[in-house]
Amino acid sequence: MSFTEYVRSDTHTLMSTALLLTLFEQEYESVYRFIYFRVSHKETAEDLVSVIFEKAVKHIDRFSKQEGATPRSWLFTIARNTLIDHYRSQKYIEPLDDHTDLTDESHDALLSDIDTQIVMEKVFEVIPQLSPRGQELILLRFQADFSNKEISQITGLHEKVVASGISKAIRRLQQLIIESKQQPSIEESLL
Amino acid sequence: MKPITPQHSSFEEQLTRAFHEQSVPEHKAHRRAVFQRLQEAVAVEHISYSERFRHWVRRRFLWVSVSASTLALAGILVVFFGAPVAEQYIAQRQGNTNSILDALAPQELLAESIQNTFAANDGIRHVMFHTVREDVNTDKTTSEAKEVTARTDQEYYIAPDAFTGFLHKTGPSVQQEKSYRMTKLSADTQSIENCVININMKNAQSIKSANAELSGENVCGLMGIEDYAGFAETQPALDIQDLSYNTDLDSEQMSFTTAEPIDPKQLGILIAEPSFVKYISEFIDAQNNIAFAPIALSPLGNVSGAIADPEWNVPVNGRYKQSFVYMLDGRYAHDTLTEATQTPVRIFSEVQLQFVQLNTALLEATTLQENGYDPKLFSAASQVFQIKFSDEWKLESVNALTQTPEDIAQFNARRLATRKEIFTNNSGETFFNYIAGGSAVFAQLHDVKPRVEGNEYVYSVQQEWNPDNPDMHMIGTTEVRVDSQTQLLTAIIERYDYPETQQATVYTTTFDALKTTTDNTDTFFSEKAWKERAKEIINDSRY
Repeated sequence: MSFTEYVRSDTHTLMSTALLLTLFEQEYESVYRFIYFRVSHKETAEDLVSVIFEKAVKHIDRFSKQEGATPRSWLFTIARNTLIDHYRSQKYIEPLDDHTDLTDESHDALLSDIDTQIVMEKVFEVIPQLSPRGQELILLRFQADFSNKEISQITGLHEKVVASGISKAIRRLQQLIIESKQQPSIEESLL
Repeated sequence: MKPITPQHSSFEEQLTRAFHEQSVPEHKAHRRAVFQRLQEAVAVEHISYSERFRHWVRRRFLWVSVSASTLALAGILVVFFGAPVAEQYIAQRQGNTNSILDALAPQELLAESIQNTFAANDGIRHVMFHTVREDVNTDKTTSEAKEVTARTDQEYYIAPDAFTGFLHKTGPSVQQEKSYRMTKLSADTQSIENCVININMKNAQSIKSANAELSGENVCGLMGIEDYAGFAETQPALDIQDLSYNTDLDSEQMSFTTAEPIDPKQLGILIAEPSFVKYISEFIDAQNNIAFAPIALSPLGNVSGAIADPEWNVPVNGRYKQSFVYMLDGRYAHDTLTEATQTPVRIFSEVQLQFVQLNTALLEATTLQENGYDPKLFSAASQVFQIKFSDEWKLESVNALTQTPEDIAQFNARRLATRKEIFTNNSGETFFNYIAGGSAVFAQLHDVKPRVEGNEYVYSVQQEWNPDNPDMHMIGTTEVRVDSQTQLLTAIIERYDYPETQQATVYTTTFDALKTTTDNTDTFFSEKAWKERAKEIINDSRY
């Protein structure tokens, strides 16, 4: 190994540690929330987050080999794969794809009924009804704030697939929220 | 595709808010636990390194007088070892401003280290010194050897790089049959005795022949390995039995024989690359049934071998402390250790790696000079930053000439990532101190002074590399322009009371980093974030 090569590998190596610490500092919260919103269970989320960072430590050297990946997207790729492993271990049965019966017109009409407060209240009730991919895309886009391109890197899906998937998931989410709103609450039913 | 309507946009914004504002269960304890686990995981491979480094910092950094370097190191210490270590370091440093330049020459450091080793371990009488230079009889090498020999009052052997090269499959002499001269210095007489060590790659017969040819000389070493390069592919950890089989030599012929034998029990300190240390120690161990524990006692900090292979620290036959290995040349540490142990080897900190380089520099000033370094730079600890920075610049320059565009892009991305990561580290000081350290470097290296063009100050940094070395052939100038946007930097300079001679370089490096940082569109590393961080630094009461 030449001196130049050494310095190059050197730079990468020494920064691996810094990268890990930085990633943890900056991304722990985001990763935790990403996982929690998927599993909706505190202890499970904590276990999975632990696994994610352990994997990050173990595989930090692989990061540089991922073309175009940012440290953040690399970490969320691990998070995503960890979630997949988790669901596999739980023998999770994947629901049908996000399906919406709404036409564009009826959809737009209903959209106007959705106000901020409702979204805030209902979204976490209905999001489990999305397909796993829909949940994943929504979370990566709106909770983790990744761009479609980054989500494409994380999920391995084509960018166009990501865009249409997010669009479809949003529409399904809107539909679910509207349906949820139209159903009387228990309190209302008792009145 | 249906265009996004205002309602869509509004809904997405609401969705984003919902996710960001939704509370989740309390998990601070978990966060702490994971962080602790993370630190432990990182430290597993580096515990020896970090422990020794802490010790070394306590002992050796008292003399650092360059404030920028002090801050820089403190910042790095904060990141890697925690605030207490950094604080201790700073506190110690404040009590002693003597410069190493005045106090200790590098060779004296080395000699002192070796002396300490001798003092702590009775019976060790020899030092084997490895250098990358084949011509071990150069005046430079000789003077270094004499220096150390005189100061340590010990015998001192120098082995040329080719001697160890055969142990590296990438070494220069893997496929060759060569005899190499080994220089021995006597502590008593200060005389140099030449002897020959024969390294033969082929087979027993050629070794025997070579030995016969050398019979008139003072043969101090004989080794033979058949096609080590191929052998190493399948047997990374050298096996004596296999060696004997492959070379058709019996154990006696394979032994490390010398006309004036070096008793392995007395071969106390072996200064060499870790891979050489590993192989030679196994070799000697197998022949003599002693342990050859590579424990670094150096204040200079390269102990990577001991980290990579913990088994080396296991006492064998109760003679664990009889031999010590001092590994000095860090250039091969990473790859050879990884190869030899089949374990990814990580070096813990930037500073340590730089000191590994400094170690190399201490012994190989000539070589480094050929590569564009000024040997005068290697006499103070602050030089680690000089080395680091010059390496960085050199690498960039080299890439520009010799590497593919992809290589250049890759390096630049790494370089950017390096700065970004340093900048975004948790303590905040780190980024600034990194810059501060670099500014001191530039001040010393280039004596940068700005020229005025309109409302801008233009700083030029010229890099020159040795045209005789094709890898390093580069002469280039980098210009950094500073305008009114740098008020923040002015504040930094005033805050830290930089000497006038360094202010220009603070501008240069800081602004350069700022530009580099803000080149990226990633909001995570946005200019706004940078400025906020810088403000935090400025307002930090600790400074």
